[in-house]
Amino acid sequence: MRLAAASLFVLLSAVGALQAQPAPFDMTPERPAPEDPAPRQPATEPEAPAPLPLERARPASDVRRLLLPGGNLTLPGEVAARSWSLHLTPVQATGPARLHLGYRNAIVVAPESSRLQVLLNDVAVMDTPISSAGGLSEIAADLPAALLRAGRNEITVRVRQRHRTDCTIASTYELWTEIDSAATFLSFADPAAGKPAAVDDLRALAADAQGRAHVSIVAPAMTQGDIGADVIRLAQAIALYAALPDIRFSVGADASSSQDALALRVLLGSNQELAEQGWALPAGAANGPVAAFHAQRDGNDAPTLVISGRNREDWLGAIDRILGAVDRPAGGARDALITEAWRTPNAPMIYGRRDLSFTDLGIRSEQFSGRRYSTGFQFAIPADFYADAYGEARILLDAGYSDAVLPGSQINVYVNGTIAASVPLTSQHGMVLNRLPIKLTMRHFKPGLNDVVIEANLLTERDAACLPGATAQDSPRFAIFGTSRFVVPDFGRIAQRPDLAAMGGTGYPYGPGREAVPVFMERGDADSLSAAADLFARMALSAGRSIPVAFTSSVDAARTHDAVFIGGITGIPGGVLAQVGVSDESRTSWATSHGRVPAGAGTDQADAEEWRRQMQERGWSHAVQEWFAETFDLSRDMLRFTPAAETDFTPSRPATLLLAQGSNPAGTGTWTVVTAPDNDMLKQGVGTLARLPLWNRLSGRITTLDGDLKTVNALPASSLSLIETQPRSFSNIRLITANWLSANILSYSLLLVVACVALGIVTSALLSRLGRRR
Amino acid sequence: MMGKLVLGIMWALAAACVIFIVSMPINLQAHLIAGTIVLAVMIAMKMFRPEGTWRLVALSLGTAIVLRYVYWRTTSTIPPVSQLENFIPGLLLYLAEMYSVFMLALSLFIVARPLPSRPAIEVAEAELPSVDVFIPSYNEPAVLLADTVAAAKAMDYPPDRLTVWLLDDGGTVQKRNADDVATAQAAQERHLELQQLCADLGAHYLTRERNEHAKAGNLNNGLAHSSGDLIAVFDADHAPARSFLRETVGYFNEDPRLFLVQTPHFFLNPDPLERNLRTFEKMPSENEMFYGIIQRGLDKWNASFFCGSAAVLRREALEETDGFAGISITEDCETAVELHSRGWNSVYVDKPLIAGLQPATFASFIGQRSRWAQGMMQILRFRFPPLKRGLSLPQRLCYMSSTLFWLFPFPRTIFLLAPLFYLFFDLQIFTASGGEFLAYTLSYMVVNLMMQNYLYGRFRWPWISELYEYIQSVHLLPAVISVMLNPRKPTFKVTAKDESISTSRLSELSRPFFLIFALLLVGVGVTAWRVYAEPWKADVTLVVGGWNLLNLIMAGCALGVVSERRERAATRRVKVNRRCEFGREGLWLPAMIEDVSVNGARVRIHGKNAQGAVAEGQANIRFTPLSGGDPAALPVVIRNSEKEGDTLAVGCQYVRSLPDHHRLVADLIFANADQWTQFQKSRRRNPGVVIGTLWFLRLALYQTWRGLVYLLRGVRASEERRPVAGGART
Repeated sequence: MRLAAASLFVLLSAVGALQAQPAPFDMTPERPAPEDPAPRQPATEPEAPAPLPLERARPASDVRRLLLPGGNLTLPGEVAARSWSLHLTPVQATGPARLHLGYRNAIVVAPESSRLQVLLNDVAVMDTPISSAGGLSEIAADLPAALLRAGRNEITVRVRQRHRTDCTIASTYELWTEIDSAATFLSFADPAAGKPAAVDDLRALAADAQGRAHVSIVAPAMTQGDIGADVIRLAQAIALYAALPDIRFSVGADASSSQDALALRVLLGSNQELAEQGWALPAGAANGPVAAFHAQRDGNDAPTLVISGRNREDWLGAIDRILGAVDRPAGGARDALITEAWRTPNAPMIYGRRDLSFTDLGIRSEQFSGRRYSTGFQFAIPADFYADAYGEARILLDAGYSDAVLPGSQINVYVNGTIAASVPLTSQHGMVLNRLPIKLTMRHFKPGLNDVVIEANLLTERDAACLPGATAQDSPRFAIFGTSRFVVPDFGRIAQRPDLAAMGGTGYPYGPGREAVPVFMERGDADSLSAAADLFARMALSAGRSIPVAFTSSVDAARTHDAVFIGGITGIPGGVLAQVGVSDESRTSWATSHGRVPAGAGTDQADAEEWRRQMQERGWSHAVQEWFAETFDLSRDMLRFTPAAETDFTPSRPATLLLAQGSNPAGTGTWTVVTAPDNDMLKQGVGTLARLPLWNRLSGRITTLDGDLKTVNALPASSLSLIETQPRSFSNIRLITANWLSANILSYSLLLVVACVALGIVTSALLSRLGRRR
Repeated sequence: MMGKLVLGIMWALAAACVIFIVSMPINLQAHLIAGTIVLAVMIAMKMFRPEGTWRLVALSLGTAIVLRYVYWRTTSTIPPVSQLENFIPGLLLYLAEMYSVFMLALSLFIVARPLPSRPAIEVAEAELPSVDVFIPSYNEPAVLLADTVAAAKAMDYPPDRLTVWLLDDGGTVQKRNADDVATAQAAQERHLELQQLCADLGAHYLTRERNEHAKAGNLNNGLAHSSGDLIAVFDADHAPARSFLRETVGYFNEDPRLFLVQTPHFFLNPDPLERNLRTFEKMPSENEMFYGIIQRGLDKWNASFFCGSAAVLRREALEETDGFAGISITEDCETAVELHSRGWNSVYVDKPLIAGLQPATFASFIGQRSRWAQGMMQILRFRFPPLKRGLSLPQRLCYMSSTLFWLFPFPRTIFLLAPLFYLFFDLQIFTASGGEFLAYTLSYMVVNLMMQNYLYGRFRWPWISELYEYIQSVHLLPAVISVMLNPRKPTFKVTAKDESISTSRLSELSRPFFLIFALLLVGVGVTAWRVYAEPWKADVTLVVGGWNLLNLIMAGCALGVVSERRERAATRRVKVNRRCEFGREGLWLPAMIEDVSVNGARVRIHGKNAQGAVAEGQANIRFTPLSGGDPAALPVVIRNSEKEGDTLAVGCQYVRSLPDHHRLVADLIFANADQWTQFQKSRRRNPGVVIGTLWFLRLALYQTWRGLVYLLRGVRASEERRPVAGGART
């Protein structure tokens, strides 16, 4: 509660001081970030004497299919599980296959009471004690015949970990197991297993050991004109097939630009253009549209997809055909946001009142004997979600805890990493919780994917005593049931501008449209085009459909549209920057700030604001403010009639990429500017930011990515315009008003007082005409 | 008519607007801030003592916060049905709160704009209708009746058109022939004594065969034997002022469909609460809220009802319904409902024109209230005003308020016990966090207090309504439940008003109050223990504990109410400042009657011979009656005297040996109604919410202590008495 309030405080006072702020909605320090395993063993150890259960020698023809979608996977805590889906080509599915898994774990994990399990299509194929504290362990198992299916398969990795000696809740944060990406794969004896045969096998595209899928698009005609839009279309099509957390495109006129290990190479161009560069083409390319895998002889063993034909119409038709299988028509509602490539089940899309059981959300009934139970689910909400100020969702929890559990234990619920509810377990005699309502504020909900973590911290006397072997105790203390429900009420739906979170979450406002989105790009060079491909591919995934684009170099063409501007900061017209609230001086200062050696701002420079703040903290008025903030989540900033005005933002080091959103000059659409000090940083930055989960941290009116390629800062928008997305209805208007007034409290108060005064006056007039008067 | 319609539509729009704003699911912070601002506006407006429109604006501001509370309470605090052990008490508490809000809504409607006091209507002497005065009596002593009859006879009205009837139900044939010889004998003696009294004072004595239908039957017997156009009804202890008929009769000439003119009941003695808490002199009486403002509010909607006494009724109307109604034990209100539903009108005159007595002991006070509560429940059951044909919508609402009010023992009991569910049994009957509870409930409670103050400020001080409701609830709850189960069972019991308290003691009904106090005290202990032992839910415990503490303060104050103080004078003195002469035949000194009571007077004698005039221990007060006639002398016994400068202050007691003496006493005490108005006005101050609350807190602490002292003393006294009783036996 207190921390939520504190982070809110920070958020609201962030205007104009972006760099100084930690990322908003950050993980609270109460709980370590799940992606960040605690003290880690030195991961690399010389090929040790460790008796590996796996024979080192492998046949050379062995084909590997890496399994982890996002690089090394860390499973922290006492229980953790991860499921995702896996597409296999028919060749991969039919032949004999062997599952390999490499992992290492924290030294404090007790092998005798900890287990690692792998399930493939709900069949346990591995079940082993966790005992790899010394370094990477590799294990392997032959898969039973007919276990794998052509197409979609589901894989689950699950751990149960116990501490060797410690029984505290804090100690559970020291537990982790890391699945090594490079050592975790399916191996197929059939060499053909590595070769995709049909276009649909694009779905089987796998990420490399770093969790990256590198796709190179070779378009010889790129330099010749306006085929950029076609490249973007192609990139979106590929992304919609593969739907991986990190797909990176590099677009070039020839193959020379890409040297890394490629997941896929795509050749795009007419028959003649490709032949001129010496590519081998499938037979049909001379006669009409063609889209097919075709082996090349240039030493690069990446699968190569050739999209070609006699002319541009032909290969455009081929792209359309590929896209047709995965695209979604404009205007329809989605059932779910597709996440299965890295996490199943897909996040259900919640458009309004919805009641989902935990089973539907992928949480099964489970009992637990440790001290910190953790589980979670994900869901998605539309871009026009407008209930962050007042809304409350609920979890109706079916659970139970035994009499061993002491009062003081609690269930915490985190939404997107911020604590949203805390329920104490107060009974001393255990209890079956039947539909226990847990209210979750919707403040931390955001358009697109949302992540909810439910954690139970269980205190027991036995843990307090912590006798030897106590951690291995197996009597269940806590159980959670799949019949629990997640209930979302109707919420206000109106889109806001600017809202980068909406763009990140669901591709809004570019996703839903039928018309081509004008994309302003000063120069159609390879770097800019690659960045645009990365950006739009990710947006297509968020939107669940391809977004048609049209490149332009005229600002006027974008004047009345939803448009995107991509380029180095110097390439963005000044008027456009002003429109999205970025100061004009950043055109020069940002680039120079990067060119310069860090100097100037020494640590002993005085900051008047900081001083004032520190002095204020001592007064009693601050104590009162603190108490209010703690008890009611209240701060002085809330006392406002309307949102405060915004000031222009000037990026500077260490920010290397800037996304800024604003209204177009006509006020009819949204302009988004994606820019960096130079084109190199642009490509690098977009490529990084378009990666999950970084992409999900887009929010506010301005988001920047720092040079470390990890830190994302966002400047919340204070003056927002609202854009109707739904047919007008009383109930929607009511909810929208409620949200706006909840954020602008003085307006609400004024409205209430005025309405009451009016009522009082009319009542008085009416009373003097009704009943007796004398 | 058009204007009314347009205004009605505008009002509906404004109300819809407020409801729309109020029912928006805004967040806690917005509620807290908006609530604070609304409260600040209400407080600021209070500084200017808003009247008329501004008062209504303040009330609608308060209503908005109350509605926000209702919205929040309804949508997010009721425990889930799946937890029955929480849900059932939770729902009861919710219903109790909603009842309170509903009653507040009805009150708002009724007293939105009470009628201002009416001017008296002058009637030409020749057009004055003939009036029968009914004084029903059951067991009141003759001396009390004599004063009332004398005062009735002394009313300013043409004697040929005024007939005074003493309707004696204590001397009926049935009583005189009772099986019990002593009872029969007493009835016979009473019969003769009252007959003589009436003969002496010029009134008519009337009794009947059997005591059927209690007071209603008695009055109907009077109706059958008389013929006046109008009927004035006075309870045996309600002596009218001289101007009573002049102030009331005129309305009947003005409106031929008028059946009732009701006037307030003014009491010369304190009720047990006022006496035991010593608030009679400075705080408005309990019934002043009803007579000072609610009846005026009812009057606006033509729904002022008959309160059994101090009223004038039209014979023609009563004949339409065969006299006074007698199904319920509150025949007065029942009669009014019936006549209102037949299209007759009523009028309320906001001026005390009678002075009476109220029950002196806590037990008889409870007895009286039980009768009212049970009677109102019977009316609700048998006449069901909300759906009674013939009543206008405002009248239905008014009667709904008057009858449903008596369900208060249920919510009171629930409010009392609710925190204990949590403290003792750990039941979560109110699902909210400590912060939410504080933000919503506190703003609701403060606004509620403010609204009460806006509505009734001068007539009811903060927390006094709650105290009255609490002290009644303990014994009224079983009474109301019993009448719900057996609606025809209760019978009319006459309230004793002539008791006096000779020794300080605990009321015979005090035991439950001490038990409840002890229970709540344990609750406070449990709160402290739980805050210490279960720090993880200290916020909720503290909030609930605070609520329990509030109950404890109330219960503590009630201990003072049931600890009956010894009282010297049976009735209060009323200031009169009237010229007279003091002395005996041959020695008359100029003097001033300073104050009078039913039993005696305080006289200040001027002149040098004053000492001599009182030396004999007996003397006379000679004065000219306000009712006209020659100066007459009233014999008195000197009780005490004190020299103050040139004057001598003398306390004396009347000696009423002749019927005429009753007339003189009545003239002294009852003739001038203005003096009662003055007295009431002196108490009608609005201390405001803050000072009123602090005052109440102090009062409660002191009364708690007093109650506990009485308890200890009582225990000790009974221990001392026991050996004495043992000794007597030997």
